[in-house]
Amino acid sequence: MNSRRRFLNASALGAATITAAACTPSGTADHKPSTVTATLLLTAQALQTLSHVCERLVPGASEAGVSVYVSQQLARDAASNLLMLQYLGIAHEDHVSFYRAGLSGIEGASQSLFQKSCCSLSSSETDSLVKNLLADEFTDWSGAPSSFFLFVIRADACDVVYGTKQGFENIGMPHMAHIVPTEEW
Amino acid sequence: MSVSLLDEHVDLIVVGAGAAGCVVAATAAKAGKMVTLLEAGPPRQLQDLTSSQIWARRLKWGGAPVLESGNLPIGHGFNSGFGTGGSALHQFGVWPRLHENDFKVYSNHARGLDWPISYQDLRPYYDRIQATVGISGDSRAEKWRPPADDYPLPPMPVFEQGKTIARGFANEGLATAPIPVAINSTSYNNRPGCLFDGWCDAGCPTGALANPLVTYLPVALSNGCQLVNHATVKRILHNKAGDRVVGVEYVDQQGSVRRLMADQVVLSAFAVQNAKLLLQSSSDKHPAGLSNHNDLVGRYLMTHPATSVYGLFPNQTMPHLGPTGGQLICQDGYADKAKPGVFGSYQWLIANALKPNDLLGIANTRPDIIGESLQPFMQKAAKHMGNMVCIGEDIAQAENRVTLSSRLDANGIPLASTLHNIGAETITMNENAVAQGLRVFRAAGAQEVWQGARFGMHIMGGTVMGSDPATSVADSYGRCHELENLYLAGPGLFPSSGAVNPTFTLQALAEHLLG
Repeated sequence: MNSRRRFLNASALGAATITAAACTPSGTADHKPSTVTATLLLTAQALQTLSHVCERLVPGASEAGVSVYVSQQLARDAASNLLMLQYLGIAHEDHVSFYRAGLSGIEGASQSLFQKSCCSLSSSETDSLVKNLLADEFTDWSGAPSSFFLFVIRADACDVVYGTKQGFENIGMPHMAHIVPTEEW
Repeated sequence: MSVSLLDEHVDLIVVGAGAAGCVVAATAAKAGKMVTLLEAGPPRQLQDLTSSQIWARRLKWGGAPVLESGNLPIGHGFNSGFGTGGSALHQFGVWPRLHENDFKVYSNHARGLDWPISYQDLRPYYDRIQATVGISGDSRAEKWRPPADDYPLPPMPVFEQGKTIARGFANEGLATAPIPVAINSTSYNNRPGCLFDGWCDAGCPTGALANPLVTYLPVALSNGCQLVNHATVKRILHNKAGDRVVGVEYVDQQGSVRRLMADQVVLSAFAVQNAKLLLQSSSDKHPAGLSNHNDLVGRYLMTHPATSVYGLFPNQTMPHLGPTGGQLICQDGYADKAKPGVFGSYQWLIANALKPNDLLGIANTRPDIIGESLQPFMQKAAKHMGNMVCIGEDIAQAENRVTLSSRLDANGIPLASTLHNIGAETITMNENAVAQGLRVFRAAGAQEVWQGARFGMHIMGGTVMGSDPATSVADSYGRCHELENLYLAGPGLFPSSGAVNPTFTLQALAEHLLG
């Protein structure tokens, strides 16, 4: 069982907290497991939705651990959280509700379009869902616009897929670090 | 929350350990003053500045949220810093000077405000800072540059991305020059030369880029200045008459309220927080906030409207190389601020070093590319992409302001709320600049060109300086009109924004404050 699935299964059991060390993404050779204990702030279904949609937006995001990344960062205080969302005019205290509302909205949109859960959608169905979300076409969507929410989670996915030394190398860009971070995130 | 009101006394309290505060603290400490530097954020060391756009976000604002609204929000989370060094720790080090015509915008164009000083007044301080810090550039190639001492360092090298885009400028009849940067092209003043690897935005740990950790802070500390981190100033205290400040109250890392007394206080906590501190220090003598009898504190908030232009070129551009701030600059047309229906100068910062991720990274320049198309795009862009950003002038408007929100932070202090709108003349200036940039990229041979969204770069105003207390918060030395020993430092003092990066100017102003 890969680490990501272990994490998702652990959350599905309703554990209040998980240790990030137990959900180190595979395929990231330089990643050193964090010992930070991340409070589970998103439901298992929400994390699965996040992982599923991010994988369609940025292939490799699921395996790189985007759901672990977001979950970990949401548990951190304002001064140490690393999410790009902090640049985008959303107050830190509203970050969890931002992700909850967005992921709940995606699930609702999936049920509305296909009468099934987002995580059960085929690739083509997910693409169709994403297209609708990017066009802000769901009238019963609440909170930040769906296109903005997708922009944010796509950026999160790009962080874990392309923002590491391995990610640089995968697109042929020299990393040239002055100081290599001891953890990728 | 416990309260500790032992009245320790120092000569000078400086609030905020960023670009301006460190200049003030260093100069005062060197002159023999007992100085305490209060910084809301954590300590920072050079070894903290890891090469990661993800970890670099720790350097951004991490204090109480700042609420934003308007058609061009100020981008406080992106533009501000937190911790020792402040936003100057993640600055790109692009240090052009304001132009002479930036100081008289109201007199010349009946828009915005005038400065109470001229470029000639500020020039000696620019020159002094430049000699201390070291700037790399080519003063002769910068045909737009106001009268100034030559740069102490030769220009930074221009890599293939810069050379490629420069051809487009030349084909459009526009000039470019090596960008003036506070980054060592060769070693200077015991600091090494740059390695040109594009990690400026993550904070430069080598000391090549002139952040406060390697310039003014060591001078302050070695001359006895005490730096206190995790010290969030809650209010500024004044005497019974309300005409002099006597100290500050701050909340320490343990949540205790402490009081520190001083002969003088300098607020250098950046544009929004300086205004917020004055507003939240209201008293019976200053019911609307300190130095705010004319309802000017918080007003004239500004940000530079900025937009990036991108392209893919047939040749390899090596976009990872060079400074994040760019390799070249173009200020053609800067002198012509006003045309029918258009207002504002602008400049191009050309060939910024790129990384794959983050807000300004390659992937987020094309949020429309998703799925299987993304990896091929990223691979191509990593070798063939070019980019540049236009930075435009904002017009100081009283309606754009910082106010106190009804929402409170964890210490019971109101959050700052900001409103910032730009008008039609500024929008047209930005649109015309972007159209020019797209033409330049096509003229440079780009096979595909696109533009980013308009965003706010840098934050200025909010506590503007001026000659008349009826129209300004502080005088030309940053001294509050209503409190004789309370000074302001930083870009909040700017009565106009110009269209250049503000760090050099705010440090020159801090030197000017000290005479």
